[in-house]
Amino acid sequence: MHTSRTARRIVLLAALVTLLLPAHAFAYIGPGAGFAVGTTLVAFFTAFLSGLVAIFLWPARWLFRFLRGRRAHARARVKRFVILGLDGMEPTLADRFMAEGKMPNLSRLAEKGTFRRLGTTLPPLSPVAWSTFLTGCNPGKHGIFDFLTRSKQSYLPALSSVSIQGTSRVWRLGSYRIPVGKPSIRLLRHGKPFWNVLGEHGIFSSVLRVPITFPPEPFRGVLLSAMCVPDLRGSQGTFTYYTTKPATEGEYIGGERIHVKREGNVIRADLIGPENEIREDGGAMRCPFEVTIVGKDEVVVRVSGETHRLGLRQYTPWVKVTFKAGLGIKVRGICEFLLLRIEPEFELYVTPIQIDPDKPALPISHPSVYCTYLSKAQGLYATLGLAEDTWSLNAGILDDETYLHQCLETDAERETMFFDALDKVRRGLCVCVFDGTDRIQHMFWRYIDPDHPADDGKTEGRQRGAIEELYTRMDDLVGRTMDACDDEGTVLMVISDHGFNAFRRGVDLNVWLEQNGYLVLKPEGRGRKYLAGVDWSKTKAYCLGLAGIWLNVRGRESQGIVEPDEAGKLRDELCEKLGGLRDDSTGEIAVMRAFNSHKVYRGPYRKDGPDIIVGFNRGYRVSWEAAIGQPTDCLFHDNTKAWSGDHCIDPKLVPGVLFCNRKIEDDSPRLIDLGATALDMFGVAVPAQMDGRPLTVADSDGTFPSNGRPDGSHGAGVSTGSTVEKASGAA
Amino acid sequence: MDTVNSLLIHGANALLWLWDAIGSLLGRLWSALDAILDPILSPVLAVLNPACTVVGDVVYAVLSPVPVWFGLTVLSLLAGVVMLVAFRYVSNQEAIGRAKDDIKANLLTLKLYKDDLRVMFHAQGRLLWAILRLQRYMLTPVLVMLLPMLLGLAQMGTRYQWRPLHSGERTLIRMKLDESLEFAENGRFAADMRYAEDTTYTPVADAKPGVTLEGCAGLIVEVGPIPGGGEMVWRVRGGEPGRYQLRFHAGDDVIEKELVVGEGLRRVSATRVGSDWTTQLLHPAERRLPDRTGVESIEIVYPGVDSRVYGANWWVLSFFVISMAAALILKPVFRVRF
Repeated sequence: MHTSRTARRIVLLAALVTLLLPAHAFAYIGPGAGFAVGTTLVAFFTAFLSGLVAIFLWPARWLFRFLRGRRAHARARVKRFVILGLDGMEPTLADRFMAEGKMPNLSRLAEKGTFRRLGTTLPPLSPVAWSTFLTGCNPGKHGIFDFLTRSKQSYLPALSSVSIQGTSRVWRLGSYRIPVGKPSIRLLRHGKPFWNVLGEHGIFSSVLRVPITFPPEPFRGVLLSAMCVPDLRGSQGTFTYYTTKPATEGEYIGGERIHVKREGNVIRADLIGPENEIREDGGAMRCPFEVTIVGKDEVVVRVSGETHRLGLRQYTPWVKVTFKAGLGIKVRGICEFLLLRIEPEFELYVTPIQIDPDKPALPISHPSVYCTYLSKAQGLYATLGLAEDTWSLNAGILDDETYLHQCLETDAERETMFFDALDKVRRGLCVCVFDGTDRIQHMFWRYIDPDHPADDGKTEGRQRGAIEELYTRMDDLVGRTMDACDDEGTVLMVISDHGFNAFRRGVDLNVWLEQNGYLVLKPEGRGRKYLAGVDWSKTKAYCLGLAGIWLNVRGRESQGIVEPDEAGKLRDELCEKLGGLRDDSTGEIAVMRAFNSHKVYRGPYRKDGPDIIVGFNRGYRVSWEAAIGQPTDCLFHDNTKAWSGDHCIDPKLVPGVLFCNRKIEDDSPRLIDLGATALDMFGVAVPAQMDGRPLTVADSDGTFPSNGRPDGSHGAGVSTGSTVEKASGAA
Repeated sequence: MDTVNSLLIHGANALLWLWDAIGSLLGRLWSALDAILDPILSPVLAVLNPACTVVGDVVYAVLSPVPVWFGLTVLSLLAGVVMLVAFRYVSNQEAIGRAKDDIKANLLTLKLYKDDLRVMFHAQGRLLWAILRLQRYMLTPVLVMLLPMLLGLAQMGTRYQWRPLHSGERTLIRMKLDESLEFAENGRFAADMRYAEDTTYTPVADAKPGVTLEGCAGLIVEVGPIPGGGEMVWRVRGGEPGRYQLRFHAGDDVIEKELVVGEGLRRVSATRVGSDWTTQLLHPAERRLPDRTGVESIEIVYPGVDSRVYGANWWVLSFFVISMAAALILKPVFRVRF
């Protein structure tokens, strides 16, 4: 073996010498050699030139920044600020696992520095909480109150954070409509992220998968968008389930079922892509694929020129797929195939088709090449905002194990990005959010709650310990992060935006409103989705989304009947009646309290959210039906879905966590304070519009700065005004 | 100023010395390699070349009705496609893909983290390493494709590089002699040759063995042979159109060399070479010269084909451009990474 390798090396060396000899340059002509020479020479010269340019320009750039007064880090108390977000990490579970010795790294972090509950937002939902985190503002200023909002015109649900519309200008060419200009992608979140403020002071940031950052905004640094990045169909994730089973009634939330026919050992079908907007009769673009059964438990999948062998319950790697719109225009996406069953019926699951980071159809990063850089550096990765397909587990298409595979894969991809960012950013801000904690707790909480209606007690298997494994895995991640941040100049914070709890019973708030005379259904209106069954001429309030209740206000809603001057009174009335709502079948209080949003929020957008925010008790949440505006005939419902844990309850019941490698003086830190803290640590003045206040973080020697700061001032100061406004909207 | 000049001169001298040293080192390496390869490749080529010539004749017979430029284009396109497919199957596409991704990732690193010198230097280092890896993965397919490509190019060269001698057109015939022979002492080849009216070369009167060239209809010898510089030279004119075998008598040996007189695109073998594998590669149309004749090669200095597209030397450029363009355009179709 060794001899053959040596011989091979000698032959290769000899061949190389042959190729290098000028006398035999003739041999180097032709495509084969041309490939080698062309590609390597281009890369070599590009590298050489770019390096040269960068090195020569570096002093000029430094001088430019210096002269413009942006001498970064001059007033900084920290060299690098690292925030590791573990979405939904529950402090009581962290306490428990640390006490049991299962999270040694977080224990070490708590012992060396700080471990506190972290005040979350009202409502404690990820889009709201992370928007508050990144802007340092209460929802009344950033305008995000829920995943969804409603159209004032049609009452239909719409995404709260982003609006995507195709270009309206088109050139007609026969049956083709050639779009002129770019589609409009608008971020509906207001407020300036604190890394933009840092960037204005010359401080570089690397921001990975922080929710509500789509579309990405320009700033000094790199950013990969997360929550609310759509799939290729424009949805927040539509899986496809191909089966030869006879069609049955019903449909899936977040997915589509396609009936396929088996012809011998071959099944042919199409992947469903985005709407073809360049053809008048376009419909959805399709990408054909073929599955050949080659064994009892093995198939071969052929799609877009790629071939993959696939065993039972196995995923393919990310597969690039191409949808052809015509006129040479292509849309590229990526997806994974999972073979569920071959006999007696064929069943195949395909993940939502996501934006290809290599050639993104929509901007998902800043700069736009950053997502390409990541895909080249580490391979393809999930780009969908909610990459883990919770809907398919809810629908029973995936089982625990195949769902968990997605979560682990996504976390592994994220880890690679995160550690690359830690390696690259030695001075500046580094933020990365891991969603696996949230998605796994949502779907596996039933296994740690013995009273949960979704756990019939029969489910054995290793996924019963999924949450404990998740926490220990995250602890391991924290350990490796600590190793990468062990220099004195780095502040490391491990945070969660909210905690977690059981979701055993759903409350159909539309039924409650109906029972109390605030909502009237049309005849035959019960059971219709998206509020289609509501008689608007008699309805004063309705529920849509996870956060709470909207009033049907005249002049605001298209068919409003509540006079604007009566709305305030009605809000108070609803809050009073809802607070303390009891579930008679369990005897528990279902709603702890309800909040009048016009009173708890401050800012120009405080009236854009639901009028009432409902603070549920542990174990309760808005029912699935109420969230999509589908009134039922029952106020309380057992939640028997796999989605068994939640956090959309009273914020006092689900604080997040804050671990830090330095001591923090404040006893009640809040999520809203972290942006201001980062600014303060870098010596940048906290903008007046921020509601958060800087936490008092110890220096690397463990001492706190006098009066909170080295210079005796209140941090780096506030740009205008003498105090940092305390956000009334933050819990 | 003097110091600068002195520095420049010394720097230039150092560079020249380095260049020479590299050239010398490569030359030694090549000699060693040649010594290993020659006994292997020379007999292989002796078998392959005639076979390739037959194939070449068939291909050009098929292409004979079409214009020359068109034939070259078709061949270049075909070569591009064949090489592309060959490249796909003989190369490690996955490894090439990874190396290329690394190159792109590190190039993007230079763009994204341009303010951080540490990151930039690291990226430069990784970039160079990725380029080396790519070069190493390219080597296997290049080696595999090298021989067939060279055989094909040599066949093309016999058509596009030289044209047949026109009737009445003057040129030279050069016979290169083995430098290891001591002509003056052993007298095998007399330096003093005499030109005979019947176009036959005869040795001088002392009857030392020499070289004679038999006359033929395709050739009129004007002057020669003129010895010197280890070779003998004849000045000749083209005779009647046709393909002839010139016969050289060297002592007891008879050595043949093909001559083509006429018009148009025809296979022309400019040189009949000895056993050296590199020259055999470049001149494949005739069998190699027999050993121990004392003759290293016989060359007829044919004029080059006169065209900026398919003429002498230009045809190589055309071939390269067209075949590369075909490969680049069809790369996505055949799903090849390079």
